[in-house]
Amino acid sequence: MTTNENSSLLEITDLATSVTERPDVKILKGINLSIKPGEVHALMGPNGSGKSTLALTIAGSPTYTVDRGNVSYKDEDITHMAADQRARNGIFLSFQYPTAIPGVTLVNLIREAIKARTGEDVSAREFIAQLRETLGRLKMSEDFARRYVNDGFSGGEKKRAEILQLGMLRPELAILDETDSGLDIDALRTVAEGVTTLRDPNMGILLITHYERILNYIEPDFVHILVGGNIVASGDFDLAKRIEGEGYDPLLRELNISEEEALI
Amino acid sequence: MTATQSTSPAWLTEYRALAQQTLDEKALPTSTDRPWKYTDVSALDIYSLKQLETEDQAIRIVSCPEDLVVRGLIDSAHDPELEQKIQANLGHLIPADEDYLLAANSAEWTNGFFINPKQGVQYTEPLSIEIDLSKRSATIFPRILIVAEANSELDIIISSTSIEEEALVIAALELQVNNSARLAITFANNWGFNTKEFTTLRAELADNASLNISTICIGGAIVKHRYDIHLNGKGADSRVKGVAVGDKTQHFDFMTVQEHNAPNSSSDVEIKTALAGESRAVYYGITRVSEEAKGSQANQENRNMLLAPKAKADSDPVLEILTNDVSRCGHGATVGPVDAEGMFYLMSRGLNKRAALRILVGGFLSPIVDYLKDAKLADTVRATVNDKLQNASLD
Ligand SMILES: Nc1ncnc2c1ncn2[C@@H]1O[C@H](COP(=O)(O)OP(=O)(O)OP(=O)(O)O)[C@@H](O)[C@H]1O
Ligand SMILES: [Mg+2]
Repeated sequence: MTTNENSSLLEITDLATSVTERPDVKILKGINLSIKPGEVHALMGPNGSGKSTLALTIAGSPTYTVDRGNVSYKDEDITHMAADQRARNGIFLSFQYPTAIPGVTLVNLIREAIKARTGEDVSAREFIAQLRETLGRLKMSEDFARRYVNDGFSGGEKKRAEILQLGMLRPELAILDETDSGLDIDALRTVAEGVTTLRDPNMGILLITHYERILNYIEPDFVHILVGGNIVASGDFDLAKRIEGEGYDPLLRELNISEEEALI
Repeated sequence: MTATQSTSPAWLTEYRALAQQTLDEKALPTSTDRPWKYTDVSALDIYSLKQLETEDQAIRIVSCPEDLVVRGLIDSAHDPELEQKIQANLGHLIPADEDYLLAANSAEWTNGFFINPKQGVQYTEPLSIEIDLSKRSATIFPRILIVAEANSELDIIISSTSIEEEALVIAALELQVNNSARLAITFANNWGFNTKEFTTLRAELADNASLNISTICIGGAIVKHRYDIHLNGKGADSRVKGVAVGDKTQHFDFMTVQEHNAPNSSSDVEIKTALAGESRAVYYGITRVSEEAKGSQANQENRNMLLAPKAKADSDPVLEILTNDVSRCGHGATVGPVDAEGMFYLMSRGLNKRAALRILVGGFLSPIVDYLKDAKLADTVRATVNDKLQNASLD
């Protein structure tokens, strides 16, 4: 499927979600967000504001239930699509807290994921060549790729493993949930450069972060501020710089958002 | 009675007569016997199927390392050089009158195997034995006696297959592992769907002897393996690693007994099952560390992954420590559904539910499957498990 230049890659309309097992816990309160191919959107917001919930909901996590509104991707309503189908359609989430899969190597997982995505097994030679190239670009060793997925990984290693998968799977919509947290300064640059080289005119990025630093490498076209389950402000890079400089309070005061409303 | 049996030495005839008497007098175990609590054999008729004239028709040596003694038990008992050894060990760990199924084996085996790794010899090639009931519906009574001489080293692989019609296997193994000998036995079992297997393995380990048991259970209707390991020598070491992958109404029952009777002995049990359909797994394990077994280590672990709502597992690891000087003892048991977070993580990479499950189960079992020494066997097991999960019932 080719995407029309003007149409959205991801279009979120009035999205409200709650926790599936606890329907009384409402998290997102009516999100609107539109990402076009090639765009980078940064999403910032205080702890507990709903950033990961939004990321996981786009990826199709059964932990959250959509109560209202919808998510469409490449002009298709995916609000109720299973997570695996979304992934095969090109959505990738770099988890804030990646899950350990003991006994399964990263290599094995990536190979299965490529097989699932393309519907065919790549040849071992082609796969290894591609893996080596990606590992090299991300300054990671082959030994690292042979470790069990996130099993005993340090915080930074988990983030690197997510980016390795991103690099191998080449999604069209990449959601990076605090991929920068936990990375050392050099790793942050390598990861950011890795993401930048992956970018092509069709790829959209939703970049969730608490810090301006990563945005200096992956410059956002738009910055959104999520507070209490609502996007309360949107702007350009300057908005991120402002938050970095003075925190959320002045902005919230300016917008007449009480501390109570800011709470979930 | 076959011709060979009539020519058995007197002591053996006597042993088997007592076994026959036990069969006549005793009944099959019932659920009130703890080892049989969850595995009902009360209605089993061990004579309902044809018996083979000789087990040789179903048990085959696939490959045997050069210079290893592997012979029929009766034949060996007639060999003046071996008779003493046979007499001292056959029936030593498995008395003729202990219980019905053991007595059935003791009374009915026809040929049996005597395996005798020589002192100080490290056999690099494994001894590979195949139990093949793929052509007939029958009951067999495999009997194996192994005397591993001091400082010997041997790997044994016993693979089993059978037809989809009924088959019954009642097996007994007696192992004497002498000083510093190393013995490894792998049971690779891929029975047909209507085979019932009851296997008892008993072993006695001398100083610094080591025994490794790996069991892979994939096929069968009811499969019960019981291992009783007596760590009688100081520094003796035993490891039991078991895997079962169940579907439909399959029933797997593992029982292990580790008796630490000497200082610095160590034992490790790890049984993992993945259960689809309405299949069921049972684990009952006792690790006893006696007062003499100072400085010993013991670990017992049983993990059960339920892949379908009607699958079921019962787990009961028991640790009895009678000395206050143990270096490390632990046990753990879990029964639970597939990790939902792991499933979502894998599905978020594009794997469908079944593929995600295959990967999770593969990873879950890998500490045991990867531990198999025979790399080709490990590959076969991975592929078989994969195939089984591809079609297993998940709801
Ligand atoms: N499964 C859940 N059960 C109960 N509450 C939940 C669940 N998931 C999220 N929440 C709650 O929803 C709110 C939003 O959580 P979320 O993880 O989306 O925040 P976040 O913006 O990503 O925060 P952070 O910056 O700390 O990562 C929090 O108050 C959190 O406790
Ligand atoms: Mg978060």
